[in-house]
Amino acid sequence: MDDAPSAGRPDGGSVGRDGAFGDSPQSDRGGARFERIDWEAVEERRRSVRPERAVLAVGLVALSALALYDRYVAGVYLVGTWNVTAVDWLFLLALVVLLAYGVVPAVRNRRAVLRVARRLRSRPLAAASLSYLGLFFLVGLFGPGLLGSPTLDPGVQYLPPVGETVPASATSDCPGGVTGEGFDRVCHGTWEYPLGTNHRGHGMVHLLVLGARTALTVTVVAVGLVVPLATVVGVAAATYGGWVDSLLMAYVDVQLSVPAIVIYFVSMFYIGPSLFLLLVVFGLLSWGGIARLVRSEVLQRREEGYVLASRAAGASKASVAKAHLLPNVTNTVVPAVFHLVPVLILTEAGIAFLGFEDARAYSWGETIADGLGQTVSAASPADRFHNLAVTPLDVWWVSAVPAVVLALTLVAFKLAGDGIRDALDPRGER
Amino acid sequence: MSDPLLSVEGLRTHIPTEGGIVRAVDGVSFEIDRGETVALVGESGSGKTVTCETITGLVPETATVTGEARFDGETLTGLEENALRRIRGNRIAHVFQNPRSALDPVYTVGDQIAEAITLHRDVREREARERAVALLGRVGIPNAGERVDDHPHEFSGGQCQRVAIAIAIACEPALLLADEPTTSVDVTVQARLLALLSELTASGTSMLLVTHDLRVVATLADRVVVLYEGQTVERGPTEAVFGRPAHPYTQALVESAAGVSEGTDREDAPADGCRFRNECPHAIDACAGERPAFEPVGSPGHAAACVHYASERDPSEVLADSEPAWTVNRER
Repeated sequence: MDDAPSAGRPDGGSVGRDGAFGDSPQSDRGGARFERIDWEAVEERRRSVRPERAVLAVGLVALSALALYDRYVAGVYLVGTWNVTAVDWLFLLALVVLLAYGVVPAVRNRRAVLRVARRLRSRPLAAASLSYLGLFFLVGLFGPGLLGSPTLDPGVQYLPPVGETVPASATSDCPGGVTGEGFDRVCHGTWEYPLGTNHRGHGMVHLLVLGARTALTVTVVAVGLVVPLATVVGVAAATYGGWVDSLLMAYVDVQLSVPAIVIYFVSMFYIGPSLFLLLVVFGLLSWGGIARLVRSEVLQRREEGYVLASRAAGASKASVAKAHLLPNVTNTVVPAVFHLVPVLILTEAGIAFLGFEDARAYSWGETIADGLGQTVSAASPADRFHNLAVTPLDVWWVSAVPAVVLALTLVAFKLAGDGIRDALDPRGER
Repeated sequence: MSDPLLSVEGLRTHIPTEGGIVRAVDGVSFEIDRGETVALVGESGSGKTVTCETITGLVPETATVTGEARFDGETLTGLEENALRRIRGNRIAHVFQNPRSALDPVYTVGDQIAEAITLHRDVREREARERAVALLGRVGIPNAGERVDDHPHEFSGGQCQRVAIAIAIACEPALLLADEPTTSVDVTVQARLLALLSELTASGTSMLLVTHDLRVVATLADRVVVLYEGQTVERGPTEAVFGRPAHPYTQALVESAAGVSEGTDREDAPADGCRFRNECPHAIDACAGERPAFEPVGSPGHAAACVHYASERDPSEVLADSEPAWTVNRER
């Protein structure tokens, strides 16, 4: 049964219409010659039209164009009052990668995604966590653009959330109304600031939204750039072995033995605190564990029958790694991702809490710190004059609200990770 | 048709391991004509599987391969990886022993058949899927249209092997390398799989059938190649080899398959000369000399690598032991 006629057709015609095997004319077999086909060209053509690559290319070109425009044409602001920072570029780059290698394949494999979604529905905790994370994503992505930067407004500092009160001395204007007499005068919350305000008069909702952007930046960079890097390194090391393996694992050893937080603090004193520095340092130094994990998992899977079978079907080492090894290590990668992301968000919040981060990047950690400690006691000259310092307990919402949101986010990541891992495993269907 | 589809000549595959070099294949020669089914028989460890893997270059990179395997006018041995990839799955396809492990658990069977198609054919996804359904029907999976979206764990062992066969024939290969295709399934399933394979070969696909089950050989193969310790010891038409096994090893093999002989404890086979001589009831001094050449045995195409069949000797003593274990009954 010689296949030359169907393979050689330049229009790449349908194999499906070639007819069943049984009715292939026997007399043909001797006559048909194996035709030389320029497979490289066929593969190239097939490869070049892959939507993932197309989206990635378009995204990168658009991003570069935007960067050039921002650098040479636009003034300080790219659009409106958006001064694009290095972190924003990193965020956009990671978004493009996620779009190309997350969203596009998901759309292309709708059936598989729907199957996973169906399985997720029977896990209410995971489904709820995912919905929360979806909200987190949307708010972090579009919220800051819609709300803009908060303005300093000491007049409305320390407004309590709706239904809560604060000693009237803590704030000057009180749009929610003041009740009581003398030292017992209290200020009520207002719907203008449903969750209250901090010492600068920034609405808590506004701060949560801006903090969500920072947390989302950490998430997107971790999922879009750091984890793919770790996975590719792990798979490549295991697939190619030899000096590739030695080199990559030597680098992993180095980064596992250097604590990222020390590197961050040291470089911070040279180039100043910034979210970008934090992302770069932790992005480059935090994925060794995942790479190791992936590598050992791939080394195991490599001996599976389907790897040999796929090679026997004509797949290259690289495509076997991509098509068969990678999906089979998702059981390892997905929990690792959903573990790494919360750790990074927490690290970022922790560093911001300690005040070692650029004050312009609004972070949940920084807001928590605002509600506690020295900022509060040094609230305003008027307080000190009246000797009526507000305690952190009086303005509990400033620290409690972002702390709750931070905790919810971390828990959601963990629960969603477990749920997705279970749902991805086709063997768990029954 | 003058030239054979596949010709293997003096193939040797030596694989370095920690315990020294394993001479897994150490001088294997045979041919497969177009449309023909050839069985590679021998006990476990005789080099059958490695022979198959050597043909399409699937052995570890550290292995040393000498000798020649020619397929359809093209020399496969020493061919670079890219060129081999265009042949694997496309013109020479494998069916493996354990169908469960040969299928990737995370993909639907339809995806896996489609993968095999798109590796070699420039078709759209929908066409590949239609093709996958057709192939599943072809290999006898009922409700192919629905089952195409099922995962391997939802299939029985026999059905998995059918899926594996569907993957193998997806690109209409000229040659199927079936490595113990029926070993891991039970006897009734085995019979149905054999029927499927014989249907495929009847429609023109050549097949190299690797097995240690001589009944399977008798059902499917046109010709038989007997391996012992990585070497071809006998080859010929199935009727001739089973009807009148010539090499003492083949005689022992056929007897043991018929439940006649008692197992003997194996010693390490000698490295040179006839490797079977330590266990051979007919061993003579000459066996330890040169590696025996193939000598014709009676019927056309039947040859054995045994010193007793050299022209200057009289093989009657050896042949006296040759009893057909059962009658070969084939409807072809």
